[in-house]
Amino acid sequence: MEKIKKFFAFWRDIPHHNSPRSGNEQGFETVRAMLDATSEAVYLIDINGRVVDTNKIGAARFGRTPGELIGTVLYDYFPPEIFHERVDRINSVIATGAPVRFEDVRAGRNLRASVYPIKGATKKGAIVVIFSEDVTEMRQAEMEERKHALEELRQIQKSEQELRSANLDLQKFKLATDNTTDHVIITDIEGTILYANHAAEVITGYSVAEMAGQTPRLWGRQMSKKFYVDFWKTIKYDKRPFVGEVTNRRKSGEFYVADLRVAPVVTDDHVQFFVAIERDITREKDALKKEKDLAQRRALDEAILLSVGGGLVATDRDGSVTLVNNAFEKLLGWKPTEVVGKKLIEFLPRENEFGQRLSPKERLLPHALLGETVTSGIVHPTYLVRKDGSKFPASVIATPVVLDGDIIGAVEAFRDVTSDFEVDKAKTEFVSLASHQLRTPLTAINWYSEMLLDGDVGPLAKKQKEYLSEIYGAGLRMATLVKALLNVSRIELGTFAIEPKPTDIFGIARNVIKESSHLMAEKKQNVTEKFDESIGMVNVDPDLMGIIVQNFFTNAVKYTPEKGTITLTIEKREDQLVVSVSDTGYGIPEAQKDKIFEKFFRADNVKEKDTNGTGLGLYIAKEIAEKAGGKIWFESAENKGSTFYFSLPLSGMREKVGGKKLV
Amino acid sequence: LIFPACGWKEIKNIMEDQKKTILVVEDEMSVQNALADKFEREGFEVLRAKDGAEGLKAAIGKRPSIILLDIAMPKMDGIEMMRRLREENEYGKSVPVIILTNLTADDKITWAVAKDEPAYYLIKSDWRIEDVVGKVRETLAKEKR
Repeated sequence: MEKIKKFFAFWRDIPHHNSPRSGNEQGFETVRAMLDATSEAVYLIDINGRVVDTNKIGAARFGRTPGELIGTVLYDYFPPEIFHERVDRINSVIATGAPVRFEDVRAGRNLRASVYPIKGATKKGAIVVIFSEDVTEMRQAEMEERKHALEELRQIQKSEQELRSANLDLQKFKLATDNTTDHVIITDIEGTILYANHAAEVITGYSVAEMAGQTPRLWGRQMSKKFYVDFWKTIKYDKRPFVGEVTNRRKSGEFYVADLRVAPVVTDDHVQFFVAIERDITREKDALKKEKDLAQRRALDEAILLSVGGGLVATDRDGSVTLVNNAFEKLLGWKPTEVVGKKLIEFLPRENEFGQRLSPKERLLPHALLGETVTSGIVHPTYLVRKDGSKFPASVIATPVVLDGDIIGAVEAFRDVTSDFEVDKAKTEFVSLASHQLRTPLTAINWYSEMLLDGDVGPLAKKQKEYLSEIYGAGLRMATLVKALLNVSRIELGTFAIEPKPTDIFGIARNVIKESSHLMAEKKQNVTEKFDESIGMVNVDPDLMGIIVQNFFTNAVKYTPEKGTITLTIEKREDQLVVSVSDTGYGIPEAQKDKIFEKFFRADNVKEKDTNGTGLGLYIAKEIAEKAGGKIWFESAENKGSTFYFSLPLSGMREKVGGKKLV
Repeated sequence: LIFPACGWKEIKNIMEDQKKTILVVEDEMSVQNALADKFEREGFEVLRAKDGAEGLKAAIGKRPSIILLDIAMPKMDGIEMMRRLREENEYGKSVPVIILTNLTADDKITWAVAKDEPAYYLIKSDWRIEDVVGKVRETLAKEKR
C-alpha cells in the first residue's frame, strides 16, 4: 500500500507520460525503472481502455514490449471468458471512482489485480491504473500449506476418534465385566491376579484388595490334585482353553459349584495372560436337585393316589377327567383310558336314593368348580352307576383345586358306603326294636294302672289308689323318656325328616296352650298370647314346629310357680319369624346357662322342684331348630323368669329328606 | 227295660255297639288281655288273634266291624295282614283298621296307612286305653255315615 501511495504522489506530478520532453525527464525515468523493477504488471489506461503506459512485466504478460503495448486497447488482450467481467470491473472504477480488487485464474495462473482511479488525470488521457500480480506460486504455496494443515487436522481427528472409540470400548468392557454375574479374572502366566471384576468379589467373598498378588487358589484347591494337573496342562502347556465344573470355597467357608472357563491369551506362541470366567451354578444345581426331588415326590403322590382305597377322579376346570385312580376303575368298571378327557358329569351318572338321576345342578362337581367343597352324606348317599349299569351307595366329596387363587380343576373322592349303610341300618333297627320292646311292657303297665284307677274292675282303697297313681305316673314318664330317646337317636343318626309345608303356626301354638291348660289351671297360671297374625301361613314342618313350641311352653308351665304368667309371642323381626315363650318362673342359674342345651342336663334349681324332666327337651328343640335353618336362644334371670326364643327365616324351614319322623 | 246305673249316653252307646264286633290282633298277651277286657266291658264282642295269620283268618271268617292291629308279630306282621285283607274282598277292602303299635311311623308304615285307608295309626304307649276306646267309637261312627 505504501508503495502505491508513493506512486500516486509521484504520478500526479507526471504531466504527460507520452511526452517525455516535459519537465522532469530524469524523474520519470526513475519511476519507469522502479516500475520495471516491481514484480507487478502495471497498466495505465484511459477511458476507452487504451494503454497509456505500462511496465515491462505488464507488456510481457501479453508477449510484447511496453512500446508495442502502449496505444493498443488493453481489453483486446483479455481472453473471451473473462472479458466482460474485467471490463465491467474497470468500468465500475471509472463510474464510481472506488478502487476494485479482484483475482482470477487464467491459463492455470492466479492473477491478482488492483484497479485505482487516478483523480485529475483524466485530461491527460489516463484515468485508471491497474496493478496486476501473478500470485500463482503464492496461491499454490498457500494451497499446499492449507492442504497440509487439513491433512494434519484429519490425522488429529482420526487419532482422537480412535482414542475415543478405544475409551468407549474400555468403558463398555468395564461396564460389562462390572455388571456381569460371571466372575472375570485376568492373571499372569503364574496365576497371579491382575484384574478381578465385582462379580468375582461377590462370588468368592474376597475383595479385590484381598486378591491383589494372590492366585485363584485363594478360593480354589477344593478339587483333586489330578484335576489341577490336567487344568494347568491344558491352559499353560497345550495353550488351549479349559471348560469344566469346579467346586470352590467362598471366604465364608461355604462351598459353591462353578462353571469355569479359562482361556490363555497367546502372543507369538507365548502365553501372556489367562482370562478366567466363572459362573456360580450352585443355585441351578440346587434347583435341579429340587426339581428332581419334586418329581420324585410327585411320583410318590401319584402312587399313593392310585393305590388309595377310595375312588378318586380329578378334572380340569371344564370338568373333563384328567386322572383316575385304581379304585375308580375297580369300583366303577371304567378303565382310565376310557374316561380321561371325557366330561365327568356326562359319562358318570348318579342317582338319589329313589333311583332318580341327579341333574347337573344336584351334582357336586359343578359346585367344586365354583370353589366350594361339597359332600354327600352317608345318610342320604348318592348312588353311583357303574359302567355295567349296576349301582352302589357312596359318600362323595368334591374339592376345588386352587392354584394361585385360580380354580384349575376339581377332585372328587368317593367311597362305597354299602357296609356303612348296613351298620347304620342295624343301628337304626336296634333303636326301633329296643323302643318297641320297652314300650310293650310299658303299655301293659300303663293300661292296667289306668283301668284300675278308673275303677273299671271295682273301687280301690285310698292308699291303693295313691300307690297305683305313682306307678301310673312313673309309667307315663318312662313312655315320654322312650319317646325322647328315640328322637335323640334319630337326630344323632341324622335320620329324621324335615318336611315343610304351609302351616298355620298360630293353630299349633293354640293347640300347645290347650294341651297344657289342665296343668296351668291347677297352678292358677295366666297365659298371654301376643300373635302378629299378619304373618299368615309359614312353610314349616308342623310336627317339628309343634315339638319346639311345646317344649318351650311345657317348660315354662313346669318351671313357673303358682299364679305366674306365661306369654307366648309370635312376631316378625325383619325377615325372621320369632316365636318366644317368656315366664315369671325360677329362671336358670347364671353358672349353668351355657349347659342348658346339653343332653340330659337339668339345672340344679329345678331338679329339686320337678323330678319329672328328661333333660332332653331343649336339646331336641335346638337340634331341630338348627337343622331346619333356625336359631334358638334364651334370656334368663334366676327367680325372675326366662324367655326362650326360636327364630326362623320367614321363608320357612329347610327341607331334609329322611326316613323317620320325630314324635 | 230299665238301666238304673247308666246315663242316656251310655245307653245310646250300648245300643249302637250291641252288634259291634272288634278283632284284636296282638301277640303280647298282657296287652291283648287289657284290650279284650276293656272292650268287653264297653259292650263289644271281642275276637282275638295272636299273629297276622290268625288275624287274617278271623277277619275273613268272622267279619268284625273294626280291627285293632299290632305290627310287629310272629308268622305274619300287621302290615302284611292288612295288605292281604285289602286284597281279599269288598269287606276286606272297607273294614276300618286301627294300627296299634309301638313302632314309630317310618316311611313303610306311613305309606301303608296312607294307601290302605280306612286305617289309623296309634302309638300304644302314648295313648290311654280310654282314648283307644274313644278312637274306636269315633271311627265306627264315621264309618256309619
